[in-house]
Amino acid sequence: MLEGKKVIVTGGGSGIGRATCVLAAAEGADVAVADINPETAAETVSMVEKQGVKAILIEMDTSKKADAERMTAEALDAFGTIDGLVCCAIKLVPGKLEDLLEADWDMVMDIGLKGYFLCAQAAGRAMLEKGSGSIVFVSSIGGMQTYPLAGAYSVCKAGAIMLSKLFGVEWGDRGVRANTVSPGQVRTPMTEAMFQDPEIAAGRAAVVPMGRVATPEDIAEGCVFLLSDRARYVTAANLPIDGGQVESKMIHTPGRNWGGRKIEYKTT
Amino acid sequence: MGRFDGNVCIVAGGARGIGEKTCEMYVEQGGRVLIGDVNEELGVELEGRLGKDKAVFQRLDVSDEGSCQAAVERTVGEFGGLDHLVNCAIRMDPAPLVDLPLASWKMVVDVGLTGMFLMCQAAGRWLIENERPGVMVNLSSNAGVQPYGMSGAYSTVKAGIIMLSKQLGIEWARKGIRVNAVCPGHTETPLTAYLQDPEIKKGRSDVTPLGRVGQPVDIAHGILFLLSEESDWITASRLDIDGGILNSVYNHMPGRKWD
Repeated sequence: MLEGKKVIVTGGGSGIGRATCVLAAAEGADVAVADINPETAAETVSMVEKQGVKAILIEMDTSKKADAERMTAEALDAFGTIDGLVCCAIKLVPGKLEDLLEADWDMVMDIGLKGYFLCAQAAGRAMLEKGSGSIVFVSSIGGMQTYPLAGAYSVCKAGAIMLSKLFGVEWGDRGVRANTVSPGQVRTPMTEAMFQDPEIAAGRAAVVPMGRVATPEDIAEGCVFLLSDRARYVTAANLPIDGGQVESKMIHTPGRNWGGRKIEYKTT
Repeated sequence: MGRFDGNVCIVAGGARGIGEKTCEMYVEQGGRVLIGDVNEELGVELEGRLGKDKAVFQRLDVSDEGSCQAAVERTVGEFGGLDHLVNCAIRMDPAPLVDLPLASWKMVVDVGLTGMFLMCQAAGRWLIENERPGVMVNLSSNAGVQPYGMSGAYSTVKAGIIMLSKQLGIEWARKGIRVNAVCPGHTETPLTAYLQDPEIKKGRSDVTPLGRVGQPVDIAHGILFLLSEESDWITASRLDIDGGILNSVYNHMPGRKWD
């Protein structure tokens, strides 16, 4: 699906980012694995190379403009062009808003929102120059529904959805598409500690209409589709990949005893 | 000075629940209403309670074009004009979609969506012909924004109401007619008689961020705001009045041990 394409993935060292690198490679893309952690990124690079394509490692902090520009330059040096960018890099610092530290707000926003902007701007300029490209932001259903006690996360993710729409609209007539995927619950290194508790894992699966939590590969499929030419008429769109969870508020309504006709609704 | 002094409103589905409360408050605030409903007994009772100089009941089946037209004519005949329309009429006939009979689908769509269109059209034509400004408020639901599983045609109808309101709002904006939708959450009305069960009421209160189910007065406050001059620059909008429930899907995920 991505034969011959050159793709950068930020946050490529783990989780959804890693799965996207590997799937993009399996679909024929050369991949630049960008991450702040060079050890995990190196593991992803070797996973990509096993797919028989080229991979490079870019150690970077996405919240730094100079790093975003270097990321673009290194990808251009290695591959000659950039066809796709997937932004996954995020930090999650949970907290009640009344107690949330300014530094924690800034850190999440710097990586999750400013970082998306800087990377999309830098790589996007190269795409605009050649008149084609696809940018995918990994947001969250937390950007569509409030994720309480998640600190700045929900606001950051809502911003990411709007930012991708802005890029999509501003660059629509210049050949560069920009879209968002919004995962629901995904088992990744960021969330793994929580899912180790079997009760929590079962409980979290039960609240999803499809009855299970996602794997990083479920999300990577959406990213690769949006990167590919199969999504050639898709821009400024937000694709939830969540097993139906973001639309599932009403299944948590107790006592839907419809005028004596009791209708049970089971999610598992 | 009442907020609606000199104003005239049709409330379709006005004999019970949210419609009834809207009639009461509209009259309290100086306006006059036509109570339109298929339930004659309750409509006549409300008419008596509010006083015939302030409120008249007319049997109204919104799914019947002639009945909508007659409601507009009666209103203008009784009160000399028409300023406002509130559409509350709905039927609820729940079932899983896999089993839903066509007759049930048609009945809920006819009353809830086609009926709302016909009532808006009848009132809108009068306003446009008479070059009068006006305001319409259409009752949708949280179920028009998120799917309400097992509710039969209800969720789809309620979603359609939101779009109908927006489309009318856009088509009639330059004619000085505003149209908006209100989306209640769990609200205690005759339509939701199951809320009389204390266990269900408690459960539904618990899943609502503000900790209680809504009362008709909560919704009527929003309806009257949208009818009033306070909302003069609001059209083609949707107002959620739901104690925050629509946006609380994450509250149901276990294992958030962050606090």
